[in-house]
Amino acid sequence: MNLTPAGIFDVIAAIAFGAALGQALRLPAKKTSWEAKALFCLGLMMFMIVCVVNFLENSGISTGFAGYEDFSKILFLLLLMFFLYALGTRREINRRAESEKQLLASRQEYQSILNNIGIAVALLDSNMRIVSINRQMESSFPKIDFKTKPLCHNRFDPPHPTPCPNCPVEKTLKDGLVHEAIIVKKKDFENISYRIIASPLIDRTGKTVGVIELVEDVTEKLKSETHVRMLQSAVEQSSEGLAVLDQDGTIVFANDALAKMHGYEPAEVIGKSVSIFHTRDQMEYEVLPFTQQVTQIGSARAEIHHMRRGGAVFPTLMSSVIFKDQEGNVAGRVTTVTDITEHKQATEALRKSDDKFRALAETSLDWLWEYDENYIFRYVSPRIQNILGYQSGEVVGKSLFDFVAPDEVGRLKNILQTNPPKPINQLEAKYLAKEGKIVVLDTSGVPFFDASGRFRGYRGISRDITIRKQAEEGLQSALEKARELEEIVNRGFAIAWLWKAEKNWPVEFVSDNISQFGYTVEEFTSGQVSFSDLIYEKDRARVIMEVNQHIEAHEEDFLQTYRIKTKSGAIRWVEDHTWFRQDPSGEVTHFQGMTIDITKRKQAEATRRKLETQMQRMQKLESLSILAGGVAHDFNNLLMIITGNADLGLMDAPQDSTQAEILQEIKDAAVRASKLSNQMRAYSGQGHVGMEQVVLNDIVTEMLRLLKSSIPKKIQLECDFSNNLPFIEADTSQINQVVMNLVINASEAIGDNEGTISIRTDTFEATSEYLAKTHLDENLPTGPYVLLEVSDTGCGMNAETQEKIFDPFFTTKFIGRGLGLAAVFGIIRGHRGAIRVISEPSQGCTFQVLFPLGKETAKLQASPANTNVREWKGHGTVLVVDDEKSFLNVASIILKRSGFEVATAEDGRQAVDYFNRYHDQVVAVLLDMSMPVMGGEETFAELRKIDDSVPVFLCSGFSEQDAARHFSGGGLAGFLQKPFQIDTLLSVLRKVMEP
Amino acid sequence: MSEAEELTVAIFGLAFVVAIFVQLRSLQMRELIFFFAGAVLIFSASVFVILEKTGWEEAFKLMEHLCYASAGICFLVGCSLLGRRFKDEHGGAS
Repeated sequence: MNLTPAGIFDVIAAIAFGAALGQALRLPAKKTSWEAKALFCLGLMMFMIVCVVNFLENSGISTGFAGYEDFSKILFLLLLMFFLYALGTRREINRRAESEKQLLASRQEYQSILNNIGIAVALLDSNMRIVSINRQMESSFPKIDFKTKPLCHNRFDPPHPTPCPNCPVEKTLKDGLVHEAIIVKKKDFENISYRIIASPLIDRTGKTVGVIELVEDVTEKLKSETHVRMLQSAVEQSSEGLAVLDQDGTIVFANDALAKMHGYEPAEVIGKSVSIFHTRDQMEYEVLPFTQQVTQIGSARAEIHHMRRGGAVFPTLMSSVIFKDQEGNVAGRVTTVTDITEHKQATEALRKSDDKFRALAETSLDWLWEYDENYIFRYVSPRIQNILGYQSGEVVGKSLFDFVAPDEVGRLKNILQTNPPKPINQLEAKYLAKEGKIVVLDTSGVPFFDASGRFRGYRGISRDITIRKQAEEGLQSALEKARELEEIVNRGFAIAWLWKAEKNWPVEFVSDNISQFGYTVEEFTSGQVSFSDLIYEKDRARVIMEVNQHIEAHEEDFLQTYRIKTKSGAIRWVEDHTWFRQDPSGEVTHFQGMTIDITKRKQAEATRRKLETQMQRMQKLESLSILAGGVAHDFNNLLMIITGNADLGLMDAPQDSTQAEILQEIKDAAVRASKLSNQMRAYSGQGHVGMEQVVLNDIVTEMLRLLKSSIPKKIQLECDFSNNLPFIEADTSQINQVVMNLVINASEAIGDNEGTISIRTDTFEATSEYLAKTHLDENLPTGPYVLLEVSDTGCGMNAETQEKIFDPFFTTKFIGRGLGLAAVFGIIRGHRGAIRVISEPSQGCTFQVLFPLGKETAKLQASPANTNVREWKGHGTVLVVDDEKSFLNVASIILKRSGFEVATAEDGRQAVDYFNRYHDQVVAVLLDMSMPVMGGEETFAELRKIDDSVPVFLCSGFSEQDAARHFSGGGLAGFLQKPFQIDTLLSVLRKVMEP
Repeated sequence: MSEAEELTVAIFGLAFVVAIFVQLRSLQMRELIFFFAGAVLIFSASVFVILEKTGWEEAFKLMEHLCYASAGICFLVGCSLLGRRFKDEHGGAS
């Protein structure tokens, strides 16, 4: 073995590595890892072996491992690096674990601090996301889920859509400074105020990386501050003076009111003694005793007089209370001063008012009273003596119910004993007066209470309304009667009115039966319809004028008749009994009246008037007819004499002689007079003598043929005749006269103008209404008639003219006899027909004539005259009976010339006597109808009794109809209408004697 | 061993030394400076092995083994100090 320096180094190295191995093995594995420690130890051991091998090699002892030296070095360095890496890793792990542990501890500590700090704290990052909050924050905002909504405070409750522009967190994040704000949140219907303080979190570089947000509930604090400010404001603005004095009476504080009360500014009095507010006497006699009382008792209250700047003295109510410092020593006193000048004045006014009230109560006509909670009277005014008859002293101390009528006690108790007590308002009740009579009182009152709110009784007033109640009962009774009367009125025909004497007469009352005119009561009372509106327009002015006239004449009660217009527009006649009402000055204020519908009465009156008119007309007509008939009769008798004598004279006078001409003129005049007489008879309805069954068309056609030449050429004649016209029973000559008169009348109505006359015939069904419009409405039967209608386009007539056109001698023409239409009228009347006139001025005129249909009647036919009858000679005796001697003479001459013996009698008795003796010699009897002693009819009857074989001829100035009426039994041989011709007489006799 | 192999070992050794240096810097433990020194000495030994071929063989060889011995001492000190540190840390922690 060769020990070299290198070998020594190897030994040292081997020992060193071995020692290092030993140290390495003792290293704690948890500081590295056991794998790294093992490998490191393996490396040390391997290198130690290398060093041993090197020693052996260097010592000349070959081991055969020399080739692995370099490999071992590399491996060792590798293991060393691995070990160091493991060591570093473990160390880092341990360091981190330690740091985390410390951080956790630190955080817990921090959280503990935050949770107990009493302020809600949140840690926000730079994005305003909540990193951490404390328990206070959670409890302050329990509804917020900070994990899901980790936003700034403005998003807490309720969430804000956008950040608040005044958000202190945002400001802090922006400028890195501390900001704060007050926000108000509603919580459980209460506003909660939060103060938000945002402090920046700054990193090492000075950059703001987050915000510490402090949220403090300052609601109470703000309230307290507000209260303090309010108190301060109240003290400063109080109307009462307030001062704080120190122990020496120096003013430490004085509010504005106190200073102003005394005429100073607050700054002027602070630091001054209270003596500036008082005179010397006030200080000595009022303030000092008051101050002593405050010092002794601790507080005091008294009326103290003060003095203003300038010396004016005024009363005050002063209160003082001492206050102590922290050690309990009296530090001063607080004094309030109230100026009671107005209070004093008010008290004085109240006292005067109380005096007035008492005087009022003593003198009032009403009874004033007060009773306690047990309804025991404590005060009654003296007026009770006049109302109930008691003295005040008799009532005070007694119960209310002692004076109430027994039957009212229960009711009053129910009303009064309510809980809580209620005011009494016009409570009517019966009371018992001292002398026992019932008095009705109207009572009003109010409950009163003591300071604690306890009911202490009632105060009120009662009024005697006994007389009023009696009056009301009377009024009620009167109203009931009025209602009954109104009911009676409403059920009656008369409408009751009350209307104002104002424009249009507005109605205040109208009875319900106004409904008979279609109106309602409301239409009048509402003003929709006035009384004047009701009156027919054409009568309104007259009614108003009449009313005014009655007022001027002071006729309070008057009757009026006028027309009113119903709601449907119908016109009704009413009779209004009106009277008016005046005010004390005499001014008419109202009208009252009763209105009755008299329309039916009016209609009845009109009908009656019409009937009366018709009756008068008929009577006039009858009188005129009788007059005309009588005149015609006598006239005919005279004409008979004239005609007969003229005929006799002509028979004796030489033909063509002057005497014959004169006699012929006399005869012609007599004939014209006879025609006039016939017209008179026609007017009287007696003119027709030849009644026969005829067709109207035939008569009219024949008549028109004759009339055409008489009608001016300018007038056109139009005919419209109905075929198959039924027969009528008529006197042809009279119908001719009717046609002629009507056509001539139409022609004259047209005059010289151009025009048309229309003539129409037809059958016509006459109704009662139509017949009522006709003349000669003498109860003609309704039914078929034959119509003759003559129309013209002439000047027409007014109603007045139409009424008179049938009167005799009435004419509208310059000339005329005035008997034309009168004759038509008489003829139609004689034919039991009717005539109607339809005309208007300038509208032409239409005459409608109705003829009854024909029927068989007794017909007395006069024998036609025979031209050669004068040559005929009769024989035997003709008895001529007439009261007219001239007629007897003429008739005797004529008959004697014709060969007859003539016997005359001036009355019926003579005729009967003669006929009784010589009836076998009598061949014919000419019998007058109207005679004295015995009339023609009676005479005829007597003659028939004696001998009915002798023919009897009736000679009369009356018409054949009259004769036929009187001799309805028949037996007459013929009728001779006076005046008759000789030929006519002889023809009749010849026909009888030579049948 | 050939020269190439020795050179390769030296290069690897240098690389490991650099790596160990970087690791030690991050650990920031003063005790480990001895480990680094030991590693540098082992690397130095590799360098001396190469230098033996260039001349002064004995001298360099002596230096080589001196490096081994020094390295061993460095590791011994390092391990001792490290063990004491771990012990102190453990004790402080407890």
